[in-house]
Amino acid sequence: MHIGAQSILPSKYSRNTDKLKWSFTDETAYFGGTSLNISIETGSVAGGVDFCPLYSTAITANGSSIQVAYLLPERPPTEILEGEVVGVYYTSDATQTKTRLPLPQGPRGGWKTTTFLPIAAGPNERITELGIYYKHPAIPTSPGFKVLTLGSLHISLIPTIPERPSRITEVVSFDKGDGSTRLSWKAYKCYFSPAIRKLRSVPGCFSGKTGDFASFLVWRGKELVGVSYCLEYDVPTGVAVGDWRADGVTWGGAIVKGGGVR
Amino acid sequence: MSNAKDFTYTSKMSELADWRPEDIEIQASKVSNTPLAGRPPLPPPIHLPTATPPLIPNLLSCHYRKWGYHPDESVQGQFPAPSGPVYTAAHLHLIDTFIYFSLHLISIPPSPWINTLHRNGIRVLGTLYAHGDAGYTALSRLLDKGSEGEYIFATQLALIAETYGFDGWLINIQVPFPGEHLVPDELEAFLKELRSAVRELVPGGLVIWFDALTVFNQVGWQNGLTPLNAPFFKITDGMFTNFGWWEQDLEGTRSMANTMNRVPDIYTGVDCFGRFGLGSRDGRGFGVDKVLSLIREAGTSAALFAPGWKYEDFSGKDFESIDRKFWVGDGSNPESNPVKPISYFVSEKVCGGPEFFFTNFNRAFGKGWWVNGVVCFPLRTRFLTLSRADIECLYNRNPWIHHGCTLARSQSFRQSILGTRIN
Repeated sequence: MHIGAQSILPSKYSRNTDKLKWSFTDETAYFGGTSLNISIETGSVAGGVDFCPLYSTAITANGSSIQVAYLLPERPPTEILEGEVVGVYYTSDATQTKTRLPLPQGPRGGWKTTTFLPIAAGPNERITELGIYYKHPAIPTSPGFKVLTLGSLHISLIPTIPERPSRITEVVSFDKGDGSTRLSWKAYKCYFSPAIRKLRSVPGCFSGKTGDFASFLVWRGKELVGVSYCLEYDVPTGVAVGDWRADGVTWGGAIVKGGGVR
Repeated sequence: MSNAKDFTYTSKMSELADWRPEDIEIQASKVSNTPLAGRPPLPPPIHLPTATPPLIPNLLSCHYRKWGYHPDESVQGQFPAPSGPVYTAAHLHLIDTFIYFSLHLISIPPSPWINTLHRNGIRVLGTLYAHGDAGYTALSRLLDKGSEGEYIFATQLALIAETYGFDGWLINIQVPFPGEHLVPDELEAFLKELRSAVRELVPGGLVIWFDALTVFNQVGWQNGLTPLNAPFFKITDGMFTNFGWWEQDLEGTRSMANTMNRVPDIYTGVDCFGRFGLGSRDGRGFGVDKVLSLIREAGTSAALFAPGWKYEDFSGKDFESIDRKFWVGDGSNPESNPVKPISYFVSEKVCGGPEFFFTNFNRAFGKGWWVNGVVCFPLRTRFLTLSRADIECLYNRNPWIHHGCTLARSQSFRQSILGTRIN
C-alpha cells in the first residue's frame, strides 16, 4: 500500500453496452502492482473491430512515439482466432479518425515491449484519445474472453530513457542511533545534450529533488526491500544489514542501475 | 512542528514560528519529489455540440478522513498492506485542486499524496485551520510582523509550501481574532502578502479563502459570496463557500462574482455527508448530484468536502465499484439514470502533458510488486529472493545498467556535480 505509487489511471470508462472493456488486475504487472486486462465481456460477438477507449489526452502528435508493454494472454489452441489483431489506437483532433497500430503477436504468456515509429502529423495536431482496439472474427465464447494485458503506455516526442541519464551513487548506510538504519544516495546530472535538456525541461520529466528519476528501487543483495521517492530510505526493522543498492526509475518508466554499498 | 515519523503538522504557532527549511534535511522522505505535471486544456470536440449549460469549470476535492494522517498515507507506504479495504483517490481526471484537511492548525499534505496528484497534474494545498480554543490562541499571533514589517507567518507558510513541494494553502478561520477590533485591512494585508509569497515561491501556487470569518471579525458563514467576505475573496485566488447554501444564496453569489468577473473562482461547497443547507435534502452521498446540478447552472466551480464518505459509510466494502459509481457512473446511460455521477456535471481534464504521457496503471495497492514483468515483492510474504538469472535478465535490457554503477571520480565528472542534490 503506497499512496504515492499511483500512476495515471484510465479516464475513459466502459459503458454497459461496450463489447470491449478494461479492468484492473493485481495478478500480474509489468512494473508496480497493477496492469489492465482488456476483455470481451458480452459473450459471443460478431466479427468486426471493437474499441476500448482509455484516456483523453492533448499530446502533440507529430514526432511522438508510442511505447507499450503488453502481454498476450495464454489460450488453448482452440481459442486462438484466425486473423485477430490487437493494438493501440489514437484519435487526433485534426482528423477525428482512429489510427490503428497493431501490436506484434508472437509467443503468448510473456511480457513484451514495442515502440512504434514516430507519428507523422501536422505541427499543431494533438492526440485526443488513446485506447485499445481488437479486430476479430466471430467469437463464440462466454463472457470474459481476455484479449490483452497492458503493462505500461508511454507517448512522447522524447525517449523513455535519456540517452545518458543521471548517475546514482553507491548507497551509504548509517545507524540512526535508535537501532534503525537509514540508507542514502545521490543522483548527479552528467550529460547535457540538447535531447536531455529538452527532456528535463518538460514539466513532469525532471525533479529538483531526484533528477531524472521518479522513484528508486531499494535492493538488499537480490531482494527488493522497498520503493523510495527521495534520495534516502529507512530500513524497516527486522531487515538485516546487507549489500544495498538503489536503482532509479525514470519518469518514462525505465530502470537505471545504481551503485552498490560503500 | 510535529516530527512524527511520517507526517508533519502542528497546532502551535510557536512551532510554526520556529520551523526552518533546513529542518527537512533530516526528513527528506516527507518532501515531494514530483513536479506538477503540465495539463493542457482538452481540445474542443469538433463534431459534438457544446454542453448546455456549460460543465462545472473546476472541481476542488477536500480530502478529510477521520481527523487526518493515517498509516496508509506513510511516506514509505504501508507494508504489508492492511488486510481490509484501502482508501485511494482514483478518478483524478475530474479534479483540479486537492486540499489535505485535518483537525490540526497547520496540515502539511503527506508527500505520497503530493507525488501522485502532481503526476496527474493536480495542485495540492495544505490547510491553516483555526478553530476552538487553540485556534483562538493561535490567531493572537497570526498577524505578527517581523523587523521589516513583514508578516512572518505569511513568509513561513509560503516557505513551507515551497519546501515540502505543494502548491499553496486553504485558509479556514473558524474563530474570531482575539480582542474587540480586528482591523480587516490587517487581515487583508496578511492574505495579500501570503498570496504574493506563495506565487513567488511556488509557480502556479494558490491561496483559497474559506467562507467563515467576516470583515466584522465574527464567524458568520455566508454560504456564498457577500459583502461580508468579498474583501477576502478579492485578494485571494478563490473562495470555498460554506455548505449551508440554498438556491437564492447561489444566485446571489453568482451575481456578485459576475460583477467581479470571477465566477469560476468561487468554489461552491458541497458536503458529501449532506449535513447542511440544500444538501440536507437528499444531498448526501450519491445525492450530491442534486446540488451539483444547481452549481452547474450557476456556473461556479465546486468544492467537494470529504469525497471519501463512501469509504466511511460502507466501511470500505466494495469500495472500488461504489467509488466508480459516485465519480463516473455504473456504465449505464446517465441521461436515463436518476442518480448521476460527478462526471456528468464536471469538465473532464486531459491525462498527461502536451509532450509527455506515461502510465504503468499502478494503483496505490496490490498483491505484489513487479519489475519489468518479474515479481519481486509478494505482498504477504514481504520479500522474495530473486534468482540471479532474474536479475541478470532484468539488467541486460539496458546497457546503462552495466556501465553506470560506479561513481566516476574523474575531473570532468566532478565538474558536473552541482551540489548535494540535483538542481
